[in-house]
Amino acid sequence: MTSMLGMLKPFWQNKLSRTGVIILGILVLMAIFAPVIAPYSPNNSSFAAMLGPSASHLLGTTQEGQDVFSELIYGSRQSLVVGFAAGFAATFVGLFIGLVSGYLPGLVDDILSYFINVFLVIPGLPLMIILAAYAPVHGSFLIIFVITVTGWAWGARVLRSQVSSLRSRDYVAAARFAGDSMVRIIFREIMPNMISLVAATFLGAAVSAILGAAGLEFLGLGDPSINSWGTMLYWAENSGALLQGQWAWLFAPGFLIAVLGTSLVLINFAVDGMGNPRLRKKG
Amino acid sequence: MNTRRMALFALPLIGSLTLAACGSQGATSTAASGSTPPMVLSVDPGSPLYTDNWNPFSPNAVWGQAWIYETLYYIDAQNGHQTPWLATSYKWNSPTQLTFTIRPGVQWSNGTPFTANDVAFTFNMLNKFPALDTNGVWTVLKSVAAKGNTVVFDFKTPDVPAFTYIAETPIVPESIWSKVKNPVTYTDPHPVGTGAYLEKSYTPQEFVLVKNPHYWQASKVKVQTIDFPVVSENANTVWLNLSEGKYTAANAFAPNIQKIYISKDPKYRHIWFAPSGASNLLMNLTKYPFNNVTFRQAMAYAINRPKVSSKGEYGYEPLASMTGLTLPANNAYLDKSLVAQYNYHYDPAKAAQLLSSMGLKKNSQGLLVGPNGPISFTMIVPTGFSDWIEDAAIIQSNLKALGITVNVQTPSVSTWVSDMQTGTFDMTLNFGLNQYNPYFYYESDLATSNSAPIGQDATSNYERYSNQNVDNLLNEYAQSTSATQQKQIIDQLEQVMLQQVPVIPMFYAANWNEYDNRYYVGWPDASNPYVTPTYALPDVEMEFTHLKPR
Amino acid sequence: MRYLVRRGIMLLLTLWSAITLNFLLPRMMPGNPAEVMLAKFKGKGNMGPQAIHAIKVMLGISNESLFKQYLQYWQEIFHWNFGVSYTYFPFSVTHMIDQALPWTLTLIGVTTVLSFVIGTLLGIWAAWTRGSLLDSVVTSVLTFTSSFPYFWFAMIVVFLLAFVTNVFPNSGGYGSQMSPGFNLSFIASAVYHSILPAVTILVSSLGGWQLQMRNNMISALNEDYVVLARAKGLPERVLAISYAARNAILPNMTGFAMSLGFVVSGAILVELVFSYPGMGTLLYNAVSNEDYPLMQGIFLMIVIGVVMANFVADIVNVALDPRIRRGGGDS
Repeated sequence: MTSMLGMLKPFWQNKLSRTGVIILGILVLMAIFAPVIAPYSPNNSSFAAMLGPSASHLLGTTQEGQDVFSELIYGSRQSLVVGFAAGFAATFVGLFIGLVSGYLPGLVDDILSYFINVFLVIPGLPLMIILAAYAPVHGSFLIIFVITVTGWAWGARVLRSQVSSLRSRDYVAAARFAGDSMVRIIFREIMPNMISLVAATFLGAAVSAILGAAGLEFLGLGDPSINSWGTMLYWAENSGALLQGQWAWLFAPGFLIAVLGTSLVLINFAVDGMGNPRLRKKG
Repeated sequence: MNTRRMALFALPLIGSLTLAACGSQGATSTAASGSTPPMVLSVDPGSPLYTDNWNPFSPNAVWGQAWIYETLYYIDAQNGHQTPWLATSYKWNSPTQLTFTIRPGVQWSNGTPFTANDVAFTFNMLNKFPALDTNGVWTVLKSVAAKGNTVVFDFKTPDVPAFTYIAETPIVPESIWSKVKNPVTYTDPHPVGTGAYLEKSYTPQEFVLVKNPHYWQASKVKVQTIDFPVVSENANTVWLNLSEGKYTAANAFAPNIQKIYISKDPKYRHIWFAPSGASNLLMNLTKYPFNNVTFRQAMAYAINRPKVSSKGEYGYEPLASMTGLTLPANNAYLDKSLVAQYNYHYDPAKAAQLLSSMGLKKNSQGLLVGPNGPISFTMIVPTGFSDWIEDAAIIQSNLKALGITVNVQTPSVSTWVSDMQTGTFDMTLNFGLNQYNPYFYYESDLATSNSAPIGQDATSNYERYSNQNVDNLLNEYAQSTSATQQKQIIDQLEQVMLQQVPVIPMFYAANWNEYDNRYYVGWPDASNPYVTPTYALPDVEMEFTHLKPR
Repeated sequence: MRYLVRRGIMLLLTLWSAITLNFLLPRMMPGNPAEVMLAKFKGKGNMGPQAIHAIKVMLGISNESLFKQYLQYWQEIFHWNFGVSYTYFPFSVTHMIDQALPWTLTLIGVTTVLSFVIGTLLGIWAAWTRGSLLDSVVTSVLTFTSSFPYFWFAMIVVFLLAFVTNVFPNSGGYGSQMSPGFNLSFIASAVYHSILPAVTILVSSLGGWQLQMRNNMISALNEDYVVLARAKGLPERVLAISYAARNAILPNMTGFAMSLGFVVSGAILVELVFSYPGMGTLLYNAVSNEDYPLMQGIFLMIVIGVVMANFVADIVNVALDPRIRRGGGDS
């Protein structure tokens, strides 16, 4: 196994993915040091409502009298956490089912493939909206749960076919004949060859999780009292921010969501390169 | 979306309508006779399209039917003032018999004369098809029969207040509806009514009404054409259109209406948000600590109601009287000395004092502790009701200051409704009934008959208030035809509200209403509130016999 | 052939479970939609028990056992009868879907095809010129736009192009005075109204196809047969189109078929922002009004759409890729 640093090297070598890493790094730092960067607490609603951008309120204030810039800085926490947690959960479920299904052909594979297929034909966003709309308690966990339920199947399908093709390789067959346990074979022989695919699945899932969470929150299906970019868009929309000239309130959170999504897609360029050396040469 | 609150309850039942418009270039497109452009009303929630349904008994009919069908009497929702409409007079022969005399010379828009038989037919149809009887008039009626130019209503039990529901039932022509096999599913595609307007054209995105030349008050109707572009759920679209002046009038909720709408043309653009019934904070009276009167009184002091009204409700929905009366319309009923005696206002110190008089003390973490540990409960507000969610946040912080923990949850509307009905909630906000007559508000919220044991569906008394004395008062009221006696009963009910605090009235729901008087004048406003601009039956017939081109 | 039969059985099984899930979903939800509907039907007065019963009957709310309801549900599906919509009563679910479906099929269908075609062409071109400044710029810009939250971009577009400059209408499917029909002025109006939503969807969806195609194409260009063909001196253009692109597009066909299937569900967020009279808006209304029959009807349409699209994709794959026919392909 190569060292950690060695594994991370491609992310830095590839120009596009390096840009992605830098952007993501900035956003993560912003989330960690939010209390230092943000001039006010995001919950401080003591300012005059709907102030335009000024030195004391870089992006103006909201209808409730909160500082938009501070909300934006603090909002990165929620958006990053939900995006990564949901991306991770969806990938984990997908990986687990993909591995088992791909490794155990026959009845187990047939049953699991069937579940994967069912979840693939069920429309994601509508199902997300329904699940979120009727949940008794709204909040981050609900959103992570809903995105996981609706998002794991794509990963599972891709990973399953990779596993089933790896399974027939000589070295795996050799290990099996040598009497290695299934767990050992999966972790020692198969997983290392799937890292790039898993990473790509994770990045893809995280991007859709970030966009999905923003969509749900925009529809008011998140917890509107939580501070996140999606809920900022919800309140901005419900307050007619553009019509009242508060363009920054609506523009900034959406822009940062797009930037966060872009950083992950850019990082994925390096992952594609790992899995497919031909993509590495140029670009 | 904010607007969902309205889309779900976009019925005359609740006055506060936030609707958003979906687009049209309506204001400029239809050719108008002369120089006055046609009136464009953004009132009807098509979401996203109209369905061709003009049945006045259908909850999903296009709002245009309110301009086509009429009622026996017009009753002002604000002050209860009665105007004879399709009937010229009525008389209580006894508390169980009511007679209406029908207006002569009125014609249906197809030319057939309107008679007492049509009235009797309409009511008997409601009896035959109970799904149409959404006001439940047949829960008290025994029979309805036409006699010459009168219609006689016989009651099973005395119920004087039921007059309102009878008087406000839309009347349909027997000649057409008697041939309809199932009036419940009938969509009435070419409506024939007695009203001021006729359907001119319909598409899923817009319908147009024109003046009915044979209307019995034709000389009073001055607006020739009304366009109704579809109103969809996206509030921002209606705000854009409002801002651009695409509507003559609208019933949209909009944040900062001054900036978005009025300031763009302050000379002509106006608003009048007539107050509707009080929205109430409900506490589950079967549960501790809400079963304790002192605790409820403490809540009335602890919650910053003015802030809820001014910040949570954008200042559009004024602070409600603790008596639950709709003011100023119900000023005549208000017992001022009683209100002064109780003098509820935002006073955390007084609340703390009341709570400690109950033996509740703060522990070392600052939490108020009762016999079963720290006082903590859940408040539910339906998802999407963004103003109520804001209100809940204010209440949460008010009570936190006193050491009470409130968990705010936002379930779906159906969960919220069914939790209220079955009594499986701690605290919530709910609409109060809007009627000129406080009896309806008290009856719906306080009568034991409208309550039910926990786990079973209550009709409207969701907090489960039960008081024999109150039930007796309500019964007496229903049987009384004496105004003096009725007022005395209402006074006693006010006292119950103030002393017992069965619910906490928070703010008056608003009837959203924006209008532009550049081309049309005669709009109702606070100084001339001749009608509540709900754009629903029967208010529109009154309003559109007053509007005229400038 | 055996492969297709196997796939067919799998799809039927999938369809059956999706439809069953569709049946169960509303019944598993908390709250009681019947009560919400009653609240909607209720006037100011108190309805009598008879009236409540009559309304329940009329809405088809039954107290039968779950199994009996399930059998009835299948019966109704075979008769293409999805019941009465609560929100639009007395109109049927089928009637409402009939009204909304053409709008969505046209708008989302056309934009999905456009997006795939343009995205794929851009991907081929970017792969062909990979490493050049243009490739970097186009690829980065499309990567960025594909991360846009649809609704956010739509709101900004509406504000700038439909309000500030007033170039396009801000909502709706056609001019409100028009009667829907096959005439030039109506079609022109419908196209005019669809430009903004279409552009919004295109801008945020092009990137995905472009990126995918670019990756596949770069791989394909390095495959042995392409290298061999180049060595033989075949013109670069022929190489790109006939050899590399043809093979690179194969893996994308399944994704394209899937997205064609999902066309039926519309683009909920974009349709909402534009108040577009399509399936997305209808579905959102069904959800927010807890109109279960309508919701189920729409879901069924989507599931059928996706399953059919999947099947077509399988057939296409078999036709294009002989390896699968020999049984090597996975499901």
